[in-house]
Amino acid sequence: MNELLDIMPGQWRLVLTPKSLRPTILTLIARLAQHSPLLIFDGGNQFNAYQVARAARGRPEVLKGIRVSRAFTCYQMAALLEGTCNTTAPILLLDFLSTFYDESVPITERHRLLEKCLPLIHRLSRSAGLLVTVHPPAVPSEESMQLIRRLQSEAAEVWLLELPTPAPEPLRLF
Amino acid sequence: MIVTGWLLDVFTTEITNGVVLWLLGEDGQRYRFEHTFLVTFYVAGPPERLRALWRFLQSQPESVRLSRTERRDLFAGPMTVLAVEVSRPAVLPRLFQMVSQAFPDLTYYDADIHIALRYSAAHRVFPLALCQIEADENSEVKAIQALDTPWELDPAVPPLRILTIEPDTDPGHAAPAQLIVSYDRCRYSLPLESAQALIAGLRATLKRYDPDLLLTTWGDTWLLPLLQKLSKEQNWPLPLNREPVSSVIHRKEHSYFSYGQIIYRGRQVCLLGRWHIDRHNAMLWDDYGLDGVLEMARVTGLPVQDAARLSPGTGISSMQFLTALRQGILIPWHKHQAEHPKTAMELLRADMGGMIYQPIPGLHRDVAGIDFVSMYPGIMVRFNISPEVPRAQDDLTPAPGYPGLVPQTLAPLLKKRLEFKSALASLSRWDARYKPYQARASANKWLLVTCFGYLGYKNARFGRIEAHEAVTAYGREALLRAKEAAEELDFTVLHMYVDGLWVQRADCQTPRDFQELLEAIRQKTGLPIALDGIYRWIVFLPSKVDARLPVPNRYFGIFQNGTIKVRGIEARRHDTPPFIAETQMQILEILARAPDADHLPDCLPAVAMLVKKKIASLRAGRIPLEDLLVSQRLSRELQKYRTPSPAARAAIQLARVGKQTNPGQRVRFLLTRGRPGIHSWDLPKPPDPRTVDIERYEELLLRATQTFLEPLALSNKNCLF
Amino acid sequence: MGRTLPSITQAFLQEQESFARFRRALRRSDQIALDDLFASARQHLAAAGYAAHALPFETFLLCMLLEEHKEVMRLRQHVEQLLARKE
Repeated sequence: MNELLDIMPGQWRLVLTPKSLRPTILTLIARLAQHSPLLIFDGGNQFNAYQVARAARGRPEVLKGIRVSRAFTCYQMAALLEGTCNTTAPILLLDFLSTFYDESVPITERHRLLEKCLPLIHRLSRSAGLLVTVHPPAVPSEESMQLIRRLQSEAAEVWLLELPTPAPEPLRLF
Repeated sequence: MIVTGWLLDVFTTEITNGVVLWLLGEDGQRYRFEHTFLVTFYVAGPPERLRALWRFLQSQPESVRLSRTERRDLFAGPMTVLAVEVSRPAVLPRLFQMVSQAFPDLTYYDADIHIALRYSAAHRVFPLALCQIEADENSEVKAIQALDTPWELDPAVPPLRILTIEPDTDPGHAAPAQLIVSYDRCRYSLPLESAQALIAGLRATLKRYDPDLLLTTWGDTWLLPLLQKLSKEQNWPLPLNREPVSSVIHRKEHSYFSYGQIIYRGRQVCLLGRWHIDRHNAMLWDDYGLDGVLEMARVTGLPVQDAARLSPGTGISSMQFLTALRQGILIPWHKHQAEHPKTAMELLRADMGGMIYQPIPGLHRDVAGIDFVSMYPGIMVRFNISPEVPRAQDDLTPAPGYPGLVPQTLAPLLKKRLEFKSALASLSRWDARYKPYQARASANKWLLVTCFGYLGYKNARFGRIEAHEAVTAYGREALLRAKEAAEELDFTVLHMYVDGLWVQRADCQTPRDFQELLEAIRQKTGLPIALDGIYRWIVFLPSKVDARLPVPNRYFGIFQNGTIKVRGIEARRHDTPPFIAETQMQILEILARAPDADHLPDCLPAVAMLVKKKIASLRAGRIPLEDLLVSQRLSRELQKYRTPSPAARAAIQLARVGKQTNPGQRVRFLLTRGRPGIHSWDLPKPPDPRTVDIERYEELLLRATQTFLEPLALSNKNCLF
Repeated sequence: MGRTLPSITQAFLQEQESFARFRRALRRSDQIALDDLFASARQHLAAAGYAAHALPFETFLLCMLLEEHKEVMRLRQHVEQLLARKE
């Protein structure tokens, strides 16, 4: 599990997990931040700084090394990627598709924005590596499946995480 | 010709070359004018793409005027954009849709702005403005000028002709038998069974009276759709619009997510040339009525019908658009601004709201309630907090530079609110201006309350989360400085809540005693602060779950002038049955008679008698069923409930008889004995009064009574029986 | 509306919940004492929130200590009064 966040320059990894593993991801972020600064784009409003802080034992130098920008719409997410220069810090796109599941934005727009994001993700992964985490939507739909599949088709590496014990709701989506 | 009158409506139609204006003339006539009006949207993007768009537009049948021009983006500053000017405003939405689908990668500005806002900005007029219009013999406007401003406390009110139509019962509850129509001193009923007579009657009235406002109940969701249907069946047109030729405007119902809640908006029917307001579907109608709606329209620039049906944020958004349009600031179609990166440490510090303290629970005497006046908007204006303005180094210092878009928009609104506050303080309740002032002040207050939330809203065109966070940071700083000022002057701070504090000092009982403190706070914070009142006594209530835990914002008290202030208890909650809410308020009124806290025990016999009477009435079945209704919102789709809430169970009952309830809508129900324990109110069959669960209502009543008596140490259950 | 970090009250409840197993294994009378400690920490949530510590539990511990000390001071004063009366 620790290797989950060990991304190398030039690499971009897609991690598909159920929402229940979000706290684990936050813990791993704290661990990664001990060795290197990180840039995080939070697409799902989930960067619970308390959980990360606890995993980092409150150490300020670790917390100061993690930079976070939150995107609340898919337009903002695209703008974040577009507006970021290549960095030396690895980049994490947390719950990347969450803003893309928003049905108040027409599906054609959401696909267009996703297409816009993909080459940007490739570009940004070249300097220090990039990780994308994706969770299934609360209410699965054909549209959200299409978005997930599109992202999957572009990723060099795809990790599928499932719960170790039988989950109450089996993961039908991946 | 030159005509002076009030601007009633501004809109465009397929056949006009510009806009149509309807004016209520000072001479009592209603005038219709047309005014050529060009509308423009702007496009930014890579030069080759703009050239391609240019070619695309030139090949379209609709004539447009294209040019390159420089305009200002709020964040990016001046930029070169392609201007697309259209001579028929009605064409713009269609053209824009086509363009944005063909060129989705480009950035669009000023694309989806309401025509009335555009016109208001361009000609410096506003809904209900008193205007002077110079027109030619074809009623084509040559010049228009507003003679007043939206900022007057007491504008001249146009003599509106109001036609009221309402069904004799709530259509959701039972089928109405007739419509009650009234205007001037006239009042009559039209039975619904004869469609022909109904349409004939309404036609005659509409033609003869020619109302400016059609005021209905359930007009949007039931009445007007029904009338239109009947009119069609009868093949007899109903002149609902004043505007000849055009059809009425329909908007579908929808539920949307806002501030953590689902809000339901019923379908809407809007008219052209006159207004239709459905009291039942109008935002905050109970709060501020027609005066408030008209004020909303004046101040936001939105036409009256839209202003009446405002969703949160639309009013403020419109005001920002007006400011932007007047200054040549581009209004983006989609918000692109994302958050600048923060470290995890910075996020810990920035991501919080207002300070909410735990009060010292129990009874306290001679307590002053002091509040910052419109704290968040005040902070935005005074310290220049705006999305495009870099934040000042220290909190509570103004950001240098020109006032930003947001402070510019809010400043006149805030000034008006302060003026209303002092005007109302000096007016007697019997003054004819009191009620309209109150209504207008309420509309203003509502806008101000929304503007802070709107600043952080993800879809707000000019929103920015950093600005939102700056406002809360300044708010926390202001409250803490107020606390420090109070403690330096030896006051005890009993409670603090975001923008208000409750303080006490042994020798302070009159307003004058607190002036020194108010002045000190003003000095330290730079913000206006006012005395809400001095409580003869106030009780801060503990948690119902655990008496050790004080609960913020749950209290009741009596001011020195005898008025009651209540927060957070059953009487304030929307789901409390009126019977219980009323009893609580009546208990408070009894307690208010005590000259001071020491005499409260003397009130106990009167309270006991009141409660005994209420219980007796309840047991004898004398309480009308409407007063026993619990009213709760449906928080999600029915199938999404794992265990249905009482509201959901009531909605299921309605669904079984074919009545759909949407998320965000309220359901009303009675508590009944046995299973299922609830009986939905709007079922076709009225409930059997004998099934009402008297014991549960009695228990709710006693619990509500205990809310008061316990903290006052007046609790003595025995004496209530 | 852009709130990502849990409120200080939510953080408090999570911390309290994380001691649920510890609490369960305590004797009943000790459980009541523990509950009192947590209740006393709740008196100062506003200050704990404002402090914005990376590890809020440390602030909650300080709150508990604060209330304990206030109680000690109150009792000390009470004892001194009683002793003074005896003389």
